[in-house]
Amino acid sequence: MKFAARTGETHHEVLVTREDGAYVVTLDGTPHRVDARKLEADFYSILFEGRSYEVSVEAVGGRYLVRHGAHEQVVELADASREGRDELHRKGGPEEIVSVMPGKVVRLLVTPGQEVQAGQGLIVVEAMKMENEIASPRAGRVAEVAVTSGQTVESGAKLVVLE
Amino acid sequence: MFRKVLIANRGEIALRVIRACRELGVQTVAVYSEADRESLHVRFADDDVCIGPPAARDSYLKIPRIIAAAEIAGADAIHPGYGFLSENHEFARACGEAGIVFVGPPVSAMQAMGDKVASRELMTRAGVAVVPGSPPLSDAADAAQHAKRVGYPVLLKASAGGGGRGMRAVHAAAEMPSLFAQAQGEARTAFGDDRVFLEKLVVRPRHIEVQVLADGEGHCIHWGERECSIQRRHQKLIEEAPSPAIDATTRAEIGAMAVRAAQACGYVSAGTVEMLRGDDGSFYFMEMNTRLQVEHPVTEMVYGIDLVKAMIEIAAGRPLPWSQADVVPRGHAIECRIIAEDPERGFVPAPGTIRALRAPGGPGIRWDSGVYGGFTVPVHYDPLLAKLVAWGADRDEAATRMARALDELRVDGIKTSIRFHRRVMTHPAFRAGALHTGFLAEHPELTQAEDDPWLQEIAVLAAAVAHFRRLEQLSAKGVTRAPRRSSWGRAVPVWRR
Repeated sequence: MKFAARTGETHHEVLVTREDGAYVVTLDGTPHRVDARKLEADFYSILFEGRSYEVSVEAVGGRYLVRHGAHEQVVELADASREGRDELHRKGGPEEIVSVMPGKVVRLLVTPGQEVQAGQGLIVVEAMKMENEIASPRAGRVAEVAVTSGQTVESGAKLVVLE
Repeated sequence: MFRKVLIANRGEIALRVIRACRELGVQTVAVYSEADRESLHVRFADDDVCIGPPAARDSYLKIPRIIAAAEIAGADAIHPGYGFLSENHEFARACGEAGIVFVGPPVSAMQAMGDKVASRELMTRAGVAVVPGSPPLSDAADAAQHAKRVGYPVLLKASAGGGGRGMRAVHAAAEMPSLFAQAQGEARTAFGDDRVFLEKLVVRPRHIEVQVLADGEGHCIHWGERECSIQRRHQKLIEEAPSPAIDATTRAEIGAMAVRAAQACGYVSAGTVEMLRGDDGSFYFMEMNTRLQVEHPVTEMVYGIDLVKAMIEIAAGRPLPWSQADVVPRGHAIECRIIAEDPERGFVPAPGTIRALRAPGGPGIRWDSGVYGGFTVPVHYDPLLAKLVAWGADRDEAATRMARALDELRVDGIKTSIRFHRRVMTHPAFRAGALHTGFLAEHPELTQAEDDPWLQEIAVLAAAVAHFRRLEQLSAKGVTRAPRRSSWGRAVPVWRR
């Protein structure tokens, strides 16, 4: 199977096949023999070029969070079609700011139509005993404020749409 | 000794108290909210009583329900842990009225130290230095006037508060109106009391605190200091004992100051006197925490004492078996608070379900945890998951050992502070002991995600194999495509402060 992969700003081509109980992963043209065993939960034991690695691989959609020791690396994978590759390159467009946890909206700091800078506060949400100011991830214009002050929000609830 | 102790708390500290009780041969009662039915402390205790809905104000802060739970379970003492009702003198009084021993200080000492303004006056009279400040402030204009008198920068603080909530640093008069409103609002939600006062902000301060133990016969000794300078939002992340900035002479001086502070309010039980140490070596009293501290294990590791057992024995009327000369530190201990927050996005809370967890082990490692693999971290309470403590013969060994243990520790499924702690342990400024409460602001690289170049190749290989296996499983079920990217990747909220 062929995939397009991305780590940070680096793009890779990956081909995976099975061979004698192990995997052959061809990364950017170079084949590597990888002996990967899935152990408990998300933990894999990987033998690669004579070294042993214990990694955990957590899948969230098409993104994989790979941990080794205290280190982490996000790897995005898509199928190797043009559409898949495009998806890994895609940026910009309207952006929904969602709540990462249930909480209560205590203050709105912006109104629809307002221009905001990256880092500017949009909304204050109270959760886990703290008031948290949600800052804009980028400069843009507020297209929509989807909540009102005092409203209780669930995890994943749309708060603000930036364009 | 008591027959049965109720622990009016949850999470890792409830477990910590249960462990002390077990060693003393005392039975335990856990209380839990509906959100904590699956929490670890419920699994460890002898008896359990549900005390209400998830919101803390309806359960862990509800005095009549906790007293009733103690009566139903037949507990003759209550240990409050830290946070929640631990510094609430009305709770201590209610315990007394119900004929239940409160494992903590007398009501009068809690009252004297609980009000930040009154405690400053008491300390001044006892000859303990305090930071110049103000009485409770009526409004932002009043605050600006007092700030002008003591000189900017100043720190706004909640009169009834603690734990960093309701606190704001103000650097110029122009910032006062909005920051005053924020501090007041947070004080009101956190403590139900919106009184706010201010203090002069000590520049590049270290947070130093002294542990004291006092028995009912007026005997009080100190157990050296802890340094807790690495903080976010005025809340501690990493603590250690001893402080790299303090020698034996200074230790004896500030220890004596802490004992004076405790004796000034007639203190009994374990308590902590918090101080700020300025650039110039000056010490100022900040407040006395009339309870067990989160970071008590570093003192336990260095002094070989069990502070929780000592608290329970004092509450049962036993005298302290030590004199000050018996109290000698050995080696160095560091604690990392493993929290469900994302340090790389401004320490935004990150609750969720822990998919897999592996605790570290080996020489010199202590793991005080309230969670397990499969546990869903409730959103209703503070984000502390566990405390990882490393002891070493010296500070270098403790830090190296901590880094080793952080590499062994795995908490999958939610964002945690593990990687952040790992960066701190090898950071040159941390290793040099050049700490102050602005440490994280001074070293922003500690809270920035890095791509680990050496990890990239192995990560791509591992992810590719995992993806391949997943697609194989899906195609066996007749599904031809993997799910597309989730909202996790598309809509990334950025939190700060």
